[in-house]
Amino acid sequence: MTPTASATVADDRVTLTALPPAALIAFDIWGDIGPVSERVAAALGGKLPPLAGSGDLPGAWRAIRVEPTVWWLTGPLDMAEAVVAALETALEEDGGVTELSGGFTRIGVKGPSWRELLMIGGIFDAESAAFGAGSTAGTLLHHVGVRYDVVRDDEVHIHLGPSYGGDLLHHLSAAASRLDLPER
Amino acid sequence: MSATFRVASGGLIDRTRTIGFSFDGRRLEGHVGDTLASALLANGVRLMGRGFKYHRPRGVLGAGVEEPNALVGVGADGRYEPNTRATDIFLYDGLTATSQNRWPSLGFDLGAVNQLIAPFIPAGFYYKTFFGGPRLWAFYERFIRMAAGLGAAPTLPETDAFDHRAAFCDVLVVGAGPAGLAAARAAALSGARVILVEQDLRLGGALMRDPAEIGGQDGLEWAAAVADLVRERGGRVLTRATASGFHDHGLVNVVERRVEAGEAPAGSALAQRIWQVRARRVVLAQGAIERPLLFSGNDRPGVMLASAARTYAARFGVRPGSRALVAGCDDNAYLTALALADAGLEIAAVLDSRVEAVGPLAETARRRFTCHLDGAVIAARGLAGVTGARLSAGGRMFDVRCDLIAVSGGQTPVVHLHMQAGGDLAWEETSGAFNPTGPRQNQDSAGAGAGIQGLAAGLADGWRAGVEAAAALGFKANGEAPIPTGPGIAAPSSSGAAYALPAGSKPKTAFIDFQNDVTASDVDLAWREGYRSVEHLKRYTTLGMASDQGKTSNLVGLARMAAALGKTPPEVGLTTFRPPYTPVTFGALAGDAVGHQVAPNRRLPLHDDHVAAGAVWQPSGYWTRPRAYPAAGETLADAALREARAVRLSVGMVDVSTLGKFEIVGPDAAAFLERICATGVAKLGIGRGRYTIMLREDGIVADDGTVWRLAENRFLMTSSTGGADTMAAHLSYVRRVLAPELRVMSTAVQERWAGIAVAGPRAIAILADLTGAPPPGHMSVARTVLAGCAILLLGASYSGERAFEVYAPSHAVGPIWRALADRVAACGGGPYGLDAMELLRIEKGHIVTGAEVDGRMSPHDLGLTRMLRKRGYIGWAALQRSDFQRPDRLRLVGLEALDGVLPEGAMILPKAGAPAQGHVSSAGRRVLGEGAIGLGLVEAGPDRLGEVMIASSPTRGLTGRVKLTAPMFHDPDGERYRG
Repeated sequence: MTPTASATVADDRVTLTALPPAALIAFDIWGDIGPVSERVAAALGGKLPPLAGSGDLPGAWRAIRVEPTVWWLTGPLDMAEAVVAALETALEEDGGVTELSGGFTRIGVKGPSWRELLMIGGIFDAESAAFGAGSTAGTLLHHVGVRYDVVRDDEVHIHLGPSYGGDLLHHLSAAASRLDLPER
Repeated sequence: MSATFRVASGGLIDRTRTIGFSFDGRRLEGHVGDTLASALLANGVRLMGRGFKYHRPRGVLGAGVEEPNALVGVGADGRYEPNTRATDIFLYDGLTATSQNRWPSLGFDLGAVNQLIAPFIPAGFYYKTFFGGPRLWAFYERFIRMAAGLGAAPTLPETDAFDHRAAFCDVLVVGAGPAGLAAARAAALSGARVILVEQDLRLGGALMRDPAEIGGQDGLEWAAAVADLVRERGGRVLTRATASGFHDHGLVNVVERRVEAGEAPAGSALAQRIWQVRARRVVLAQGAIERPLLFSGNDRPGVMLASAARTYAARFGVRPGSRALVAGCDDNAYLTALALADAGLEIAAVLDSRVEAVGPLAETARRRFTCHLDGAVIAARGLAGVTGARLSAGGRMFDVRCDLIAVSGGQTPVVHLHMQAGGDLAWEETSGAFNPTGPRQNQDSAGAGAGIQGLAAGLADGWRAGVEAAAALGFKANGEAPIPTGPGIAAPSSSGAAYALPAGSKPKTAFIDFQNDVTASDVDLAWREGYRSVEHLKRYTTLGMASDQGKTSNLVGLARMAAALGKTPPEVGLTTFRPPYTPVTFGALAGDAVGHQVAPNRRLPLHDDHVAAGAVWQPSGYWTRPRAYPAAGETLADAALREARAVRLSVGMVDVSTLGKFEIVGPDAAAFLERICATGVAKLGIGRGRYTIMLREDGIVADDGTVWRLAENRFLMTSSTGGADTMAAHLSYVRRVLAPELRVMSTAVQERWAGIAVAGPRAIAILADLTGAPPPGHMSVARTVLAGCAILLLGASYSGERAFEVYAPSHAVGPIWRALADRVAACGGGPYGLDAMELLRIEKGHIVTGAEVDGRMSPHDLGLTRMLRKRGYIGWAALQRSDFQRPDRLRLVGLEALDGVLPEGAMILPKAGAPAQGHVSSAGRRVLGEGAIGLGLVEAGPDRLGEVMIASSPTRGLTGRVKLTAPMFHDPDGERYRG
């Protein structure tokens, strides 16, 4: 059977969920990042996360800093146009905005073993104590380019291209059956 | 069969649990904790294999991964694994093992006739025998293939699960012998996060064969306490886990065997897992491997490494013989004799190659056994097994009766991982071995693996390595070094004399490499024939090849070569230590990337719609794309032709979601694109687009695509499907490295926009109807709404007909496809796939990445010179090189088949038998007309239009005449696509 991105796997260690489509907007600041990012934060009514960080914004939006000068905003699809306009106004000629809605999908991984699950087929130290809620990282998982966003201590969202979604969900589902193996 | 060689008590086996297994069909029994080798020895089975070349009978030489002789096939069907060391597989219920390299049976092997012709088949005989013409080689090949290889490769797919897992730690300790355990304890007590890996099923290493007391505690209990400590401090302990490769940046691959070879894992659990451990510091404590001694018949069953004999006695409670001769070059000989005597063996004699031996071990042994100094084994007696030996001692020769010869030629530190990590070696004359030095990564070596001998010294060295590794990471030392409190393992003093072949021994039957049947005379022959490099020696004699990679033989062969050259071993050098340290099954290397998961599998947003339309799929990079939509009973070729004709005559639609797409935003967006694109971009008006090409810095065409100006400071650029990822990296490189001053944002939007191309004379009417407005002109773009969704509508043609590309957010594209499909079908058209797209673009003369854009072509070669700007784009400077102006470069032409045959990939020759002057890069058939056409890359092609050449594909047996034409077979003036 070819797995699809709508599959859900759940047990007491980890739950996998294909999250519904959301808006995704990227903006890049090439001007003086301090004052420009403050303008953007004011326009969004919240605070932009620091390097390798993520955090919630008003209106069910979430900000993820994916590069030193690039942030992603995820939130309700029907608000994307307004947020793009607000960003363009705030950035003026000090940065650019590109809407990526539809270009990424999200898989939610929840449960006590989510960190171990990301180590199987991964190359990033998801088990590091420093990788807590509000952390983000771009890496490879099962040879697929992904971005992790730790939304809570027991939950991470994996952002990836939708074409890879079914494939990755298959790998994660299979790997979920191999968690917590005892020592020989 | 009763276990006649099992000692009544003792050992680390569970005597309360009996396990049934079979060897060559014989039902036998062992205990939990046994290896296959120990269980076979316990049952009196000494013959476990046959030599590779001469098919001489072979028994077990070692007790661990160094074993060269006792290779067996285990398991069945999808779990069959050949060349498994009987010494490195732990017994499980139902284990089925079969011997290898013999026919019809292990006891009666017809291949043993090779022993009679041994003088005629020395090292390298095949180089002197198998030469001549191709027909002769075809004759030889059959026999060479029959003789080559160890064991039989599995023929069925692997049935069990494997995977790869990452792990990170402060200190990785490889090896859980005394030194490794001490290092792990030191690091863990310092607060470091430790991973301790051990290839054995149990921790303790040498403590299992040479029991000792550490800190007032039984050695193995101390080992277990160290493991508990590591776990308590947040670390991890992996057993049956072999560190097989040490790579750059502190990456160590550790292969963990969750079950034994051939054993079925429970449920969906794993058979094996590769741990990709990235460690900040690595302590290598892998111990040492004992070297065998050279003498005639040293390969006979019953000749065994002294440490192995002790292991069988102490760990497995097995007597490896009844009457033992022990020969060595240090105190290990005395230690072994005492251990074997304690296990109930009679000691025939102890030979020490030294002329003097002092110390408590030697004195104790001399009180109990007949011991000889200046002694050596000249020859083993017996054929299927040892029955005695010819000895020399103090210039006197004599015979003894024995069924076991336990030998020790010194210790070779295991330095494989150290060397893989880029380390150096230092020769130590006393031990006659290389010790690790000059670490290049964050590694350290400790214990026997660093040439440190003896329990006390090993523990101290391991503790030092653990403390230093933790301290280097900022952890403060804590606790005290462990010390042996009992009699412990004696510190052997070594002798280099153990390499020599004793006077009276025959080099022809003195084996150096047991696995490859390389004898002392083979090394001598290589030397006589002029081989001086150790690398050449290896290739000529096969010394150190195959699954054991010379663990017991390399240094012995090297020493003999050095002696012949009158040099020291370090002057002769060593061969390369390549991963893996021990064989790794392909299943483990593949991990879970098997079957349809062998590579990432990218799914189109319209996948389900294509399924509903009856698509036949084709891999396209990681994507799976529709190849064609054949009707019932229709061939793929017929379907493709039907689909392409619909485009030419009416309308068709194709999924182009996979195209690379990039949004370029900012005040300097145009300037940025003028660097990327070799064609003019900056002067494009808003809402206009154009075809473009992108060059590499060396002037070669990297890709082609289109650029569209969506707003004053916003562009959409497309590239090919296959080049999308490369283009994304290129744009990032230019943005970050070559042009960081530009105020521009470059974002890959490949999956943001799903794409549908609608092509054909009826396309314009369909889109006008569905959007309620006239579609944009050719190379113009408009924002509009289709099926309730905001879209970008681009006037662009790849087919040569009036065509449009509809771009919509990929999560919303389904209704658009279905709305279009209804209208297209109503016009007599339908979806078309990759095959039809190929026919259409060849006829139109459009190049494609991977065929015409093949990593060698300049824009001039592809006939694109007129499109180029004068300067300022990436690749421009390189294009000025004279080589790009050469008239005889391969250049793009059209090809017209004159004999109806035009095989893609065929060579293009001026006449039969002449050197090739080009090749057919793409080929197909005319969509509406008859005959085969194609595109080709031919030397000075455009200057030779009209010339008739030969297209020849010997591999397909196809040859035909072709005429060189302009690369355009359809609507050369572009009237149809301009509308």
